[in-house]
Amino acid sequence: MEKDIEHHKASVRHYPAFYEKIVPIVLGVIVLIVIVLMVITIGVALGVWAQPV
Amino acid sequence: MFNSILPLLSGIISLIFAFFVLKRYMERKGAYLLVWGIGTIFYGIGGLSEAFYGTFGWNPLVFRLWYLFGAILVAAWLGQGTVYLLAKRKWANILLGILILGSLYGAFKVFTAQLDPSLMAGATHTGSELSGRAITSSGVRILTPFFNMYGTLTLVGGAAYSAFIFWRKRVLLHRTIGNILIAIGAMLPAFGGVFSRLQFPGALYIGEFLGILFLFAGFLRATTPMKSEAVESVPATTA
Repeated sequence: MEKDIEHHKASVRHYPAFYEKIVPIVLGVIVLIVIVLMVITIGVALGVWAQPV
Repeated sequence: MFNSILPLLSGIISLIFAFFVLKRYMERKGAYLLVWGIGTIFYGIGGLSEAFYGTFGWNPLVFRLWYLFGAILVAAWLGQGTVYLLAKRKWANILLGILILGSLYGAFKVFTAQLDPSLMAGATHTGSELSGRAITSSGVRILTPFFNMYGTLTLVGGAAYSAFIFWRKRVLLHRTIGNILIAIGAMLPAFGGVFSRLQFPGALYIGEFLGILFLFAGFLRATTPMKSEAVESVPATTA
């Protein structure tokens, strides 16, 4: 049991600190942008905004 | 000059990118690589068509090639590659069948459309870049958002999802970074299109150029492990 816990502890992995912070932020921003782009695209397709390219 | 050189560079980089992707396909197989290769060739055709227009002026055949491959199909085909990478083979095959039929329909509509190049210099466009405004037939331009929506959702969504999975497991940092670069690169041409409509000169071509740079860099990063994979194991108590 104790051995299992030790094994579990040793298997928790981390990226370097910079990537630990920046990756979730960038992914969140990407998701937000995709949502905005989808709204714009649907708006264009429905003729709410300018014509498509 | 700006409207010739930049898309020319985009086209050349796209074709070099296609070479790398297809070379990897020859070595490893994998349908996603083949479909990505086709998508990057479409990107190249779009860029080279824009460069032709910037250098030599209007040509209806070049315009139709640009609109079909550069405006309608490229994002969807790149996204389809990601579908092969992430989805079950059966669903990927079904979606590819739909995409092929849609692409053939798009080709028919584009190559039978009536064109008027004078309309490209409309009120909301600079006229210095190619624009779908030159198409006067109905039922052509409306195709673009549907293909691009599919492409954006699958390519950006797939890359972001992959990056999230690798990040959550804290494995393969190079793939996390590579997929983030791919997601960013896939969005940049869309931004270029938006800013182009807002009359920023060259915005579309800049977006496409930066887009292919990010996509290529992302592909290289994702397929090249770091010298020392920068993932460290630490005790859970410090997490």
